[in-house]
Amino acid sequence: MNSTPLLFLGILAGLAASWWGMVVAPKLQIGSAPTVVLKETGQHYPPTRPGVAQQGAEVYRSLGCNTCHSQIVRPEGYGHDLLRGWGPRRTVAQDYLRDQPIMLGSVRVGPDLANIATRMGSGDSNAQPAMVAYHLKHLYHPRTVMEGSVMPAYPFLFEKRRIVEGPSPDALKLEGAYAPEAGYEVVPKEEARVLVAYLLSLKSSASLVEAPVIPPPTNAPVKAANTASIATGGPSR
Amino acid sequence: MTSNVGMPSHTDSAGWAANEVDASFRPVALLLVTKAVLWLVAGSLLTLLASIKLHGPSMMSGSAWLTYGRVLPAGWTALVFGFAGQAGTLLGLWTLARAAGQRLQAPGLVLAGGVLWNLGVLAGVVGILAGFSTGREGLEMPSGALALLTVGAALTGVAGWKTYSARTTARVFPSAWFVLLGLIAFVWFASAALAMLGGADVRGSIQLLIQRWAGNGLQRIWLGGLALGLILFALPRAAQKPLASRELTLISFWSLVFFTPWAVTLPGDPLPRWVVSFGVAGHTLAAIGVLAAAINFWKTGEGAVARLFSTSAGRLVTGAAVAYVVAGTLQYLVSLRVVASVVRFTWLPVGIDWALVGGGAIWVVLSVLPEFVERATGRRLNPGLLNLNATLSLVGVGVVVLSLILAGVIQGMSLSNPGKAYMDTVKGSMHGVRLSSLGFLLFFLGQLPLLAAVVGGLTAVARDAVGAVKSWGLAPTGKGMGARS
Repeated sequence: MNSTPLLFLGILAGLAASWWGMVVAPKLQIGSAPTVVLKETGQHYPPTRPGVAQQGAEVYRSLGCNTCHSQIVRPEGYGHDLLRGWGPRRTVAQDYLRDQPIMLGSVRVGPDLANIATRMGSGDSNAQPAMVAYHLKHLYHPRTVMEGSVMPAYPFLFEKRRIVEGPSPDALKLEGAYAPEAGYEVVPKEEARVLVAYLLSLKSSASLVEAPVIPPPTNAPVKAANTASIATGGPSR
Repeated sequence: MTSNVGMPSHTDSAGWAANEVDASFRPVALLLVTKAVLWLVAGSLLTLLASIKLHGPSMMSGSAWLTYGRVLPAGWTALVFGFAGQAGTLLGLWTLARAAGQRLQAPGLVLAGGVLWNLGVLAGVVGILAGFSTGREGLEMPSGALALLTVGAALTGVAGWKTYSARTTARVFPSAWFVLLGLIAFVWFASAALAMLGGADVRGSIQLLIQRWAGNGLQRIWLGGLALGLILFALPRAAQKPLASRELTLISFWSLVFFTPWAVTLPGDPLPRWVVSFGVAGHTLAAIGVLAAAINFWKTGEGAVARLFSTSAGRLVTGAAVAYVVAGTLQYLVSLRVVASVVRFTWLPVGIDWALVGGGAIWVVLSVLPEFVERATGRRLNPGLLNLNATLSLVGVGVVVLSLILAGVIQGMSLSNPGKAYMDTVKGSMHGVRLSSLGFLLFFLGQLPLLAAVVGGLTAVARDAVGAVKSWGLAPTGKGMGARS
């Protein structure tokens, strides 16, 4: 240890070995993985996120939503994500191919969002406006849709304004203590709209070779608990 | 031996002038210590605010700048980079210079590096609050801010290595190795993250690997290494015994260099299985170094418990040693599939982070910092304020760590029942979160006396310097200094 060059080179060797093993080698293996074509639809997976949803990802990043929400469904035996209904299968590297940056999260103060779109039925085009309205209300004040939620409100993503020529079609339908005073309405700003578009783009449910979709769990109590959660206002943090 | 700062007697008897080494840090102490303590106050306030917002989510919800997802990483950035890393590096350089028996070489580089570092932290904290976070956990500050830090660290690192290379002693006290590791590690991990994460060809899960590898390196090798070096420096001094084993220290050191950087993945990650397996193996092998450190701490403190607890500096460094071992042990346990399946994504990993950063790093920095300031400036700091700082910091961080670990276990057990509604699992863990807010409050309040002591002491130094210049005298004041009571 008395030799400065030896100490210096030893440290460099140790750090460089880990860089090679945990960064370079995996990058060589999966760093240039292509999108896959799904048999069912013939479309590429993961799909390119629409521009408005990509803008929403920037809002998600800017507000630090990943501080509380994860985007990962662990495999069976590594937790109960599947039984909890957070996705039809585990998430794999392929799911994150287009994420820049990847916002996996490490703490679940709120529920996982890897499949927040499909968990609330976005596959049904008729349900889309209702889901948009739900998420907007949730962002404006989470306790309007989920009693006891600890998620912060984001009123700065909305504008409270005087009703001039009749209410706006996109004004939030708020009741009770959350409703604005008479003659006023609350409408989402662009940031709120794109953030909801991003949330509704989060789905990792395509069946892949390395992660085939498994049949829905038949555990009745589990299903009941998650169904109840969505019916009473959807998953909240 | 007790009159010097924890160095083994063989270095004291080598004939070098410890006072000269201490004095060479005077400009650095005057310029950078107050800034570090200000970051500590700011970081502890922001983390307190974030904690309160968890159970009072409507509080200050009207401002995007103060939303939870920004306040928490901003506070963490201030604590890790603004205080623990900055002060830890300064103290590391000081212990390095003492171990080398050499004045600080190229102090101008340290001063320039310190200025860049503080500008980088400022840009990082403000950038996160303003919404320019990178979204990468542990590396949230904007890349420009991280670049400033990296250049600052590189300049400081050159000064550190020059000081080590100019050593006059044949056998260097082993805490110096950890300091040198820290000086290299920051530049290595931060520059790799900057270079690779900015590239468009780095896609998907590879980003995850890079940010985890860099984040783990900065937290466990850079900051954890500095903390371990300072504990090895301060614990023998507080115990008034020599360090128990140089061999065990070697095991801890090379374990940190060769094994800990691999400990970046956990079971269930969306990565190739071999990558996850290597990561778990890294966690396991890294535990060897933690075990060696634990035995070393135990043997060093054995039979000296009363002495360790008789001073606030001793209590802080003892707490730091325990916290370092607890954090390392829990990090290993969480890498086990059976444990990870229950407590991953709960409050428990947050508690582990606080054990390492708040306990292992911040406690030991608070233990050594006052004496560094006193020896570098020749001005004694208010011992009453320092004692209050130590007590509140120990209790505050202790409550934070224990309550978050408890909350994590409760949350994990609750989540393990898939029939339980998610909201109920959240509510069940909130008691621990509320308790942690009390810890954050005590921790924040504890930093105000430190700020008062440091500002008061350094203001007096500046006043003395002005007086000395006015009378055309440049000799140091020589006012009473001494170890923290």
